[in-house]
Amino acid sequence: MKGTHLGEFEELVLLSTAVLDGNAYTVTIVNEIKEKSARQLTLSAIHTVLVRLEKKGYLLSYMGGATAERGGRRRRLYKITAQGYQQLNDVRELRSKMWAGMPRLSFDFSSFQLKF
Amino acid sequence: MSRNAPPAWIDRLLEWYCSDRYLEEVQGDLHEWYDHNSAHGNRRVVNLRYFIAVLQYFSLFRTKSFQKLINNSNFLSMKSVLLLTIRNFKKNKFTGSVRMINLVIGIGIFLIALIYAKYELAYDSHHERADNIYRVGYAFESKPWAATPVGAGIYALENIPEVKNMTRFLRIWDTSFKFGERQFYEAGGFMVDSTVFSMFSYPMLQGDPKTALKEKMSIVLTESLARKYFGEENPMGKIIALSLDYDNESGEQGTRIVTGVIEDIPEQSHLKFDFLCPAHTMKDSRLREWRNFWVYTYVEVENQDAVELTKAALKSKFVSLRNMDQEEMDKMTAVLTPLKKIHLYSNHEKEYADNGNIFYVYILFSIGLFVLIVSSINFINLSIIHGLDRAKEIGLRKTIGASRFQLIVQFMSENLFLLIIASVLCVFVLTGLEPWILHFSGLDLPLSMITNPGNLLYLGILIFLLQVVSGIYPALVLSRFRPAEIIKSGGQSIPMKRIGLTRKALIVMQFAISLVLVIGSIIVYRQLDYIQSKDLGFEKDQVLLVPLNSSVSKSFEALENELLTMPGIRSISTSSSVPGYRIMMQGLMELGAEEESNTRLLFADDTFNETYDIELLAGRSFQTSLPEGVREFMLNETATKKVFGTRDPIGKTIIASRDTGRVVGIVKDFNFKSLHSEIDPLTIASYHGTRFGYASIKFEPRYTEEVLAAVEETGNKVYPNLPPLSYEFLDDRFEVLYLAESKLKGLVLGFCIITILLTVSGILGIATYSAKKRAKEIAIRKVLGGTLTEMIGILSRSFIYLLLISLLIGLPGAFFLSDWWLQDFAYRIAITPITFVLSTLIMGALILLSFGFMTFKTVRTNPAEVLKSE
Repeated sequence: MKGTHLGEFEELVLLSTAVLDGNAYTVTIVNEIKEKSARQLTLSAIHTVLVRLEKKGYLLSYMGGATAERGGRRRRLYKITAQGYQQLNDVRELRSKMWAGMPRLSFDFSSFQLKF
Repeated sequence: MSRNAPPAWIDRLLEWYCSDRYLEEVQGDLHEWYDHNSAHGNRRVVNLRYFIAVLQYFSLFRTKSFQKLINNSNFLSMKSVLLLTIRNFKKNKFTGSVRMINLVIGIGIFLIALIYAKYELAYDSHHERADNIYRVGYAFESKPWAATPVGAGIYALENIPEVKNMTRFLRIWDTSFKFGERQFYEAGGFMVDSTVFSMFSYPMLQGDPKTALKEKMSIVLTESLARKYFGEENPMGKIIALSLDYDNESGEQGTRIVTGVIEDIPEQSHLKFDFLCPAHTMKDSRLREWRNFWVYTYVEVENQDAVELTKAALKSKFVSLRNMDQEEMDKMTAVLTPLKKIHLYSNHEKEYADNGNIFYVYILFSIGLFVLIVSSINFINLSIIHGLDRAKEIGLRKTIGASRFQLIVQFMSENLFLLIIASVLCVFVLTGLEPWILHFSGLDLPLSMITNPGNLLYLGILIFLLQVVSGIYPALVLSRFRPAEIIKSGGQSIPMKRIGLTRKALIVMQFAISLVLVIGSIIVYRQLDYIQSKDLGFEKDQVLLVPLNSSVSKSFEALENELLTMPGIRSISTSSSVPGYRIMMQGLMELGAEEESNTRLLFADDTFNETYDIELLAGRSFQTSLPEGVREFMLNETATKKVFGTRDPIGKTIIASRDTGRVVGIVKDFNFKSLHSEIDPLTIASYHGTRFGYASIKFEPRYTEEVLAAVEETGNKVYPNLPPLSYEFLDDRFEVLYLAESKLKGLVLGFCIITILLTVSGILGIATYSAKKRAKEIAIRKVLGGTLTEMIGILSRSFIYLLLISLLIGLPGAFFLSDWWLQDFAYRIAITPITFVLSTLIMGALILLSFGFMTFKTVRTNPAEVLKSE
């Protein structure tokens, strides 16, 4: 089956979904990411990732209520699953483990510049 | 609250492609986004961005057709069939590979045969008007000629209204070309009527087809000949010095201006040449002569109906010119050979090239078809055997509710999948084989699919036919299994009681075809070998030929005298022609007799018999120095019989070609043509005057190098102003005469080996099947003390019966086919029983060996393994 690997963009969308807690759908996720990281994303890109994450079992979806601005159309709301939460945790743990092993480097970039 | 709705047409676009599964949420999101953005910002910009956003949503998985597809049950089953086929192949790699190899060989060989047939049949079809072009000839006593007198063409054009256009090709013999330092003899030239480019499609690279041959001093070259003399320079307008025998009698060099360059003549042409000169350099009266038959005349007619009219008109003209009586008239006809049929169907007298033979096309095509049938039968048998391994799977599928139809669809799809893989492999194999076939058979077949995408069409049709033939039967057989029986026996027992009649018939057919192929291949090979190696009745291995043109023959005496002093040169003879080349046909009659007989007439000097080791049966050879005006003749046995019957011809006076002289000797018959035809009557006449035709130099084989060097050196010394002498070994010339046979021999041998391999794999398959089917029986017999030989006997008995039945069909079939083919040869091998016995024994041995091998494998397994399930 499809791998369980989580790409950087997927991780970002998964995180936003968890943060938005119950109010996560394409439009709110675009706004959330824009607010936090100043990345302007398209609706279709988010939608594609959401469908994929649901297939992997990290998200659950259900149809929510309709509003006037949507022309009376319902929205598909997403919720993170336990498995998705676990996956996010695993990623974070892996990162902190790696960070823990990081030596205290003095990043003296000027010396690099001299070289070139 | 008012909301801003996006333009309706963009919405419709989204609704058009997006599947219902996603439409609501996607459209809702988009509308929300639009409402939010349109509050601030230019309406147009927002609309545009909205449009882009809708387009960005377009992705395969959101489209309607894709959603339909993945929900389709056929797609789902296709996916599982694919998976199953791959898994089955992995599980049983041996049978899988054998099936695949069978298919690849069958398809490959058939495609090669098909492409070969198409290649041979496509000769001369590159001419746009090919369908309406005919070559004119005359047939006497049903012996057709490829050539006509030079006047025939112009007569047809001027007097027969049905003839729209006409071109004559007048052969130019060796001509020396000179441009700057480059000087060679060129053999492939014609003088033609200026209509040549309006009738035939010879694409012109440079020059104007309408005017290229208008000027008397013009010459049109092929691309490669132009490159030979001018390299990268522009050949147009360049002046070449050349000796055209028809230009002037002295053989001095004339000059020609290049007025056109045409593409090289395609390989698939019966008439190939390197250069063309205008025919009207000759006097008009000479171009209207009705004497010798030496010109190739092509006419273009309106339609098929005109052919008979043209023939009749050409015949009556000839009849009135020669004052023929009724009897002579009945024996001759005019012949119009369609341009496209010249290569395969015409092997007339004075044919320009050694044409192909429609028989060879038939043979190769039927072999290809046979191999395809044998391999398909193998494939069918192996498919069934392979299916038996899956009895459990079939039983289970039926139990959980698969209908028979579903199973048939499954097996057919698996079959199709295998066929497609085999075809893809075939494409690669054929592309790789192309240079090999060229190497072994000399045939430059367009096999590669990349350069000839048309072949893919054949492949497609073939896949379809094979799917119908090889897919349906196994699918029907395998889907018939009864689940209860299979599951009860744990998949061990084979739910087929015995081999059905259909399979028996298939096996008999396969055996019979294999037998016919093996026997046929042996006979074809032996016959071709025979005519290539049979003693021709003269020495052909130690003779070097030097063609003599007018400029060489002028001082040939000097060359001859010098050469004769060299070591290794035994004798030199000059003659009007030589064995292996055409010898002219002439009327001959005894002095005082009423009727003329046609014989081949060869002018030769007194050393001819010695040079060619021709045996003298009676009388003597020519005198060394004959007085001026005295002509002597020698006849071969056939000519003696034809002209004199049983009387002794020696000392009789005969008249041939307006010369009168005495017959001085009879020579033994020798084959001066190839062994395709019988020996014609031959008259050898002594001659005086200018030397012409060929010089034949007999040399000792161990001095070959020295002799060649001497000929070159002396040639340069005697003819300082001429190109180097060209020469040719006589046996090479005979190789050329048997080129078609050499090509065929290689292919036949290859096909024979492949047939044997296929047969073995087929028999192995059947043996595997029957050993498996009777595994329990064998186990019980083993327990009761049966020996290996007994068991092989028991297993193979029924197949020996099948082999015997196939012998009844195969042996007579092979006999009649070989006999029919051999009729085409004047000299043929006898069909000996040994070939038949040997082939039968080989087949029998193969069957026993395969059965032995498989039985041995079965017998070696522990009986407990087989019997424990019951």
